[in-house]
Amino acid sequence: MNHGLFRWKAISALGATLLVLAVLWAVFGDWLVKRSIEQVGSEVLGAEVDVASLHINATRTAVEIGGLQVANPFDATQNLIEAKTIIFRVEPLPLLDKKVIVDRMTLGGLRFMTTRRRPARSYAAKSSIASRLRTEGDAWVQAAKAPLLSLTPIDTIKSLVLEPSNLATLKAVSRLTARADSVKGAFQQNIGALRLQALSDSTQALTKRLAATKPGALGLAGAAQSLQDARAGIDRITQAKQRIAGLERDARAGVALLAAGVQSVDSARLVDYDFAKGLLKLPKVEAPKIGAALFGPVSIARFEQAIYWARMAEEYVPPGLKPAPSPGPVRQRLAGRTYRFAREHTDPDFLLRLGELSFSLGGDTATSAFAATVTGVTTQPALYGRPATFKATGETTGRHALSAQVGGLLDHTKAAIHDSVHARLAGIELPRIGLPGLPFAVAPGHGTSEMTVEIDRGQLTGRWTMRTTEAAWALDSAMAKPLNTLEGAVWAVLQGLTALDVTAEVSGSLRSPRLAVRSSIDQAIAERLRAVLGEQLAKAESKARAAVDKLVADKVEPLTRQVAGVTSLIDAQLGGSKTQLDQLQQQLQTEIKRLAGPASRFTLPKLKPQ
Amino acid sequence: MLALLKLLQSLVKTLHSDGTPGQIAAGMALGAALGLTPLVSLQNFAIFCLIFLLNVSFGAALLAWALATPVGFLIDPLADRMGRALLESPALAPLWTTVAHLPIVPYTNFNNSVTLGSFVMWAVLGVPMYFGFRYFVVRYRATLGETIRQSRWYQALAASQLYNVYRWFRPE
Repeated sequence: MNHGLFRWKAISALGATLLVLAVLWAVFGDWLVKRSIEQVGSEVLGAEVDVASLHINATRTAVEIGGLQVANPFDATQNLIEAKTIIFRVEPLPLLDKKVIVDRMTLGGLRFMTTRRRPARSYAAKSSIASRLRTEGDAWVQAAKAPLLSLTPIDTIKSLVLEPSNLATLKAVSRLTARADSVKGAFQQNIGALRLQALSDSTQALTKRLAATKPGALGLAGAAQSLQDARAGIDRITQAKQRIAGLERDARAGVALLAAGVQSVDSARLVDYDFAKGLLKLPKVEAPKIGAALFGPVSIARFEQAIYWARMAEEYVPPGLKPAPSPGPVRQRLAGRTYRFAREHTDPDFLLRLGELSFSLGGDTATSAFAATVTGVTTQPALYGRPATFKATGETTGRHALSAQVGGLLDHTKAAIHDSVHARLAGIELPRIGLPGLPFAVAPGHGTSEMTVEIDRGQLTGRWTMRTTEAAWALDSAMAKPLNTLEGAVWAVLQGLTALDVTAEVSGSLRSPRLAVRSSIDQAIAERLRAVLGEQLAKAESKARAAVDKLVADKVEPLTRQVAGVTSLIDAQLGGSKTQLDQLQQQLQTEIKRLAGPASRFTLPKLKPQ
Repeated sequence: MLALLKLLQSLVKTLHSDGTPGQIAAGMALGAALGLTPLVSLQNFAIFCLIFLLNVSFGAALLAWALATPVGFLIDPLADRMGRALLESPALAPLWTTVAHLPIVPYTNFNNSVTLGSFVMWAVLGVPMYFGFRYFVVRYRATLGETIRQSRWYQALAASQLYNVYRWFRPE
C-alpha cells in the first residue's frame, strides 16, 4: 500500500485523458464554437443566428465563418443579414487575458433583408434583454398607432349610444362643481373670520361717542384721549382693509381657477365631440390624420427597428468604467451575474479594430459594388476611448442605378451617450406598402429612402423619408366586395398619382418617442373626401355633437350658473365690505378734524401705531 | 433507478476499497468541488488533474462529484447571493480588478457570482468535509464494514467487470 502524496503512474492516464480531450477539441472544437456563436448570438439579438461552417485556424489565430445568417427579429421569414464569408484575425496575446481583440475583420458577400428558406425560431426568452426591448417596442408601437382611415359610408351609421361615464365633460363638471363649492366655502369662512360686523358696530359706537363730545369741554387730556381713540379706530379699519385685500387676492385666484375650469369643461366637450365622432367611425378628412393613418404603420416599423437596435447597443455597450453586472452565461446551472472590472489603459474584453465589408443591394449581383468599413466596435468604449464608426458607400450604373451612402457613430465613451446614423439609398426598389384598413396598396417602384436617427442623452430625433416617381397603386386582389362611394373617391385620387413622398419624424425620449407622419397625397385625399362627403359629414358631426350635448347640457348650465354665482357673491361681499369700511373711516376722520381743531393749539402726544 | 443502483454500488466499493479513510475523504472533498461549482472553469480543470495525480481515492472523487452535482444546483441561489455580495463589495473591488487583469486567471470565471460563491462555499466547507468523511469511513469500517463485505451480493458485485475497471483507479 502506497501512502505517498502522488500517484505517479496516473500521470500517463492523465496524459492520455488530456490527449483524448485534445483530439475531441480537434474534432468537435469548430462545431462547439459554431454552436456557441449560434446560441449566444441568438440569445443576445433575440433572433435566430445560423452559421453554416466555422474553422479555427490556430496557427494564424484566425476564425473563418461561412454562411452566416441573422434572422430579422421583426420578421421571421426574413434574414436581416446574410454573409458568405467572414474572417476574423485575432491578436493571440490578449486571449491569455480572456480578451478578444480582432485586428481585422473581412466580410464578403453581405446581403440584407433576404427571404429565409424556413421561418426563424424565436429566441426571445422572457427574461432576456431582447425580449424586454421587444416588449418596450410593442408598447411604443401601440401608443404611436394612429387610428385607421375608415371609409365606411356615413349612411350606414344608424345610431349613437354614449355611456355618460366615458364623457370627459361630465368628469370635468364633477371636478369643477366640487371646486366651486370649495372656493365659496373658503371665502365665506375667511370673510366671516374678519368679524367685519363687530368692527363696524364698535366703530359706529365710537363715532357716535366722539360726535356727542364738545372739544372745549374735554380739556387737554380728554381731547388727547379722544383723538387717540379715533386714531386707534382708524388703525383697526386700516388693518381690516389689509386683511380684506389679502382675502380678495385669494378669492380672485379662486375665481380665476373657476374660470379656467369652465374653459376646461368647454375643452372636454370638444374632446367628447371627437370621441363621439370616433364612435360614428366618420372618415378622417384632416390631412395630418390621413398621413398618419396611411403611412403610420410603415413608419412605425422603420423607427421601431432603429429604436430596438439603439436600445440594444445601450444595454450591451454601457458607458463608463463602473463594474457593470450582466447576465451570466447560458447554462444548465443558475447563470448568476457576471461583473466586469475594467481598468484604465487596458484592452477591452472585445474590440474590433477594423472591419471591411463588401456587399450588394437590391437586384445588384456584383458583390463588390458596395463597400463599408467599421472601426472601434467594442464592449467597453470607455476603455477604448473612441466612438465606434461605420461608413458605407457605393453605386452601380445602368437603368436603375443604385447608390448608397451610410454613415454613423456610436459614442458610448462617456456617460452621455451620443449615437447617430444617416443612411441614404437612392435608386433602390422600395417595398410594396399595403394601406392599413383599406383595399389599396402601392408599389413604390424605384426611389430614394433616407433615414436619420440621432440619440443624444436619451433624447431621440429621427426622420425617415421615402420618395418615388414610379408609384403604382393597386386594388386589393382579394377584395370581396366592390368599392363603396368613399373608397371609390379615394381610389380616383390615388390611381392617377405616380409621385409619392412620405416623411415620418420621431422625437422625444428614447423610451416613449412621439411620431408624426405626412405624405404628398394627404391633402389631395382630404380635399376629395371633403368634397364627396360635404353635407353628410356635417350632419354626422352635428349628430355626434347633439348626442354629447344631450348628456352634458343639463350639467354644464347649472355649473356655469354656480360659478357665476360664486363670482358674484365674492364681488358683492368684497365690494360691500370695502365701501362700509371706507364710510367708517371717513366718519372717524371727520371726528378727528373736529376734535383736533381746538386741540391743535396744543402739542399733542405722538401716537404709537398699534 | 439504474443510476441510483450504480451510485450505491460505487459507494459500497469505495468504502471497502484498500484506500485509507484519509484518501477516500480527500477524494470526496476534491470531487465535491466538481459538483458544487459550475463545471467548465480553469479551477475545476486543475482539481480534475489533482484528483488524477494525488494519491486520493479516484472512485470517491467520482462518487462525490455525482452526489454533489444536485446539491450544487440546489445551493446555486445561495452561491449567487454570496458571490454578488463579494463582487459588489467596495472593499474587495481592487482585488477583483487586479485578479481580472492577471493572465489566465479570467478563465476561472471568478467574476461570475455563482462560480465565485459556490467555489468559496466549497473552499470553506472543504476541510470540515474531509474530516467528516474520514470519520464516517473509520466508523463504517469498524461497525458495518465486515458484515457487508461477507454478504453474498457484495461478493457478486466485487466479481463484476465494473469493479475491475474501478480497481485501476483505486489508491495505491
